[in-house]
Amino acid sequence: MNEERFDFVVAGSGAGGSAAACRLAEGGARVLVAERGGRARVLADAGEALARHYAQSGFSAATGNCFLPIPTGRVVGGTTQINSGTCMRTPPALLEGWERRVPGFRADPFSGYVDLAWKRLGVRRAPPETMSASSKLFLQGLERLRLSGGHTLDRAESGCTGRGRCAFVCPTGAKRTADTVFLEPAAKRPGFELAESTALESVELPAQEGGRVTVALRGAQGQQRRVSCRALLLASGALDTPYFIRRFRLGPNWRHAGRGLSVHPATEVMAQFDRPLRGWEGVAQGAGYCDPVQPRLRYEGAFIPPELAATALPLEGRRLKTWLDRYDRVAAFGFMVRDSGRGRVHHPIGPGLPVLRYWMEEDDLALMLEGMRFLARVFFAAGAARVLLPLTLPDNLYDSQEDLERADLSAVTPAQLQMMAFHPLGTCGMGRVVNGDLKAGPGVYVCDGSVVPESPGVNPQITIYAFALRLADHLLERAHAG
Amino acid sequence: MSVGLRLLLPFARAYLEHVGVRLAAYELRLELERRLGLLPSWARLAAGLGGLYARRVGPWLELRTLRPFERLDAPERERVLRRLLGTRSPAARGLYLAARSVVAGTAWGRPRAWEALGYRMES
Repeated sequence: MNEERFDFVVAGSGAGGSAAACRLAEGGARVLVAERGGRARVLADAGEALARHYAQSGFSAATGNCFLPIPTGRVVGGTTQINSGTCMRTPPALLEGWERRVPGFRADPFSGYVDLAWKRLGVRRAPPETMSASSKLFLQGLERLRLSGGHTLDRAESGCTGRGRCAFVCPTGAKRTADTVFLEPAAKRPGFELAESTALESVELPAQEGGRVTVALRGAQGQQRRVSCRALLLASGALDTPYFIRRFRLGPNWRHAGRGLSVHPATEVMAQFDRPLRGWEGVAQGAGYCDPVQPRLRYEGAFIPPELAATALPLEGRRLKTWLDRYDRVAAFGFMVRDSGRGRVHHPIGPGLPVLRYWMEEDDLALMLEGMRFLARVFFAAGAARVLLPLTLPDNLYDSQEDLERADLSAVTPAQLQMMAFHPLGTCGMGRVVNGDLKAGPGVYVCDGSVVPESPGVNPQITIYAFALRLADHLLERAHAG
Repeated sequence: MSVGLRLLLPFARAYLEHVGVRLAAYELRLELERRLGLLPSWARLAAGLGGLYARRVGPWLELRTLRPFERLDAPERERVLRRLLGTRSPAARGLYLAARSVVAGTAWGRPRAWEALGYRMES
């Protein structure tokens, strides 16, 4: 088999992979992006979209002391195709901490890359006319409770009309995803190739520093390609990149890959109102609120489309049917916790089928309960007739704030929470598995969510983009110097 | 008939009957098979095992009966379903939710389930 030569091979086309690949191509490098998934398709059925575009068809979940679904994308553009498009800058305090702890990391230059990512994505405030009924009611509830700080969220979009399908591939193309912002421009550069439905199979490190890395790729029809490159960028996501680091012992810290998983456990509270709301219309995640007293709690909009609601509600049987019969009167809002709990990912069977473990700490559990109570209070203030807490308890429906205040939730365990997590991070943490330049070993770098060294408490896509752009510039600098 | 479908079908039939969703037998099979076909093979098996768990183990756990789910009366079925949803074992919950996602998706994932509320599943 002939060995092809590229300057860089990027495994994965999510936020990190796409941004790095594009930046490298813009710098004149020959870049091959290998993406295991195919192209995103707009589908009428959210359930089918889940099955086709999510890793494990959406059946990816951690066990431990809780059951925690962790959906990620397996499609060109990665998880950016199925996220809500919300953008948040990396908190400066976090960057300062990384600078203190990780040699080679500097907060100020990194902030420049955050700004660059923000600008490239065209991030802007969600237009008020696209806000969902749930978001409006949430903001109204805050106002009635005299709590200031509710706001519309910043999003990577252009021309959004509030179709409410952000998590199932934007039907209008308004959401600015990794592939539209980075891969499409890169594709116009000579020497750039995107290989869809192509999986990374093996990695051979060079015999010495400065030598070429050789990778084997396998396409959808089973065809194999051998490619040598100056550097391999692993960008398959926090749940998959550790497989390659461990399997091929990429770098001196390979044993630590897979540990340190943080996830931002999240959930939503639903409320029933006495009038039709059509909660499925509008941007599901258009509004937000930061708890001024508890900064580890961040509230953001959420709404499950009707065709998936039955599979996600913490109700069963006829109670579930009764709730769904009035789903047009349901509002929902969510929150996430900056977690102190941690998990791990390992791959006893092979790539693409990670086994996830996660243990929620007591303080995270307390925050989850606090968040639920707060959202319920806001919804009651907004006029809700009934609130459904995301607990798999027989009594999780409340008809008034007073009812809720009387409820004793002290015995609730993590296993009784109905929750999900959308931000798996940290499994190849910077300073632990990769160094300050995101280098794992000779000629191997990582640029996806796995390098984020701690739970950031903000939606992480901007941070991941920034890491990737920074890495690309670093590699280009080295290439030009060498 | 695939293994997953064979294991899931009896529970699915009884579940839909319990929640009052009417589907012709052939339509139910077709829809379950379609949904199972979208899943990776291990998830199909998990859904099937989840159906078996719901049908056989659920009634034993909640009612201490060997009668399968489809032979329970309505109040008993309701109790068993609540028990299955609330199970504290993450592994058991995962199995049940795998089955539930396919079965509940079949019950409520079709366009005509939402016409009355004015929701249209459209791209």
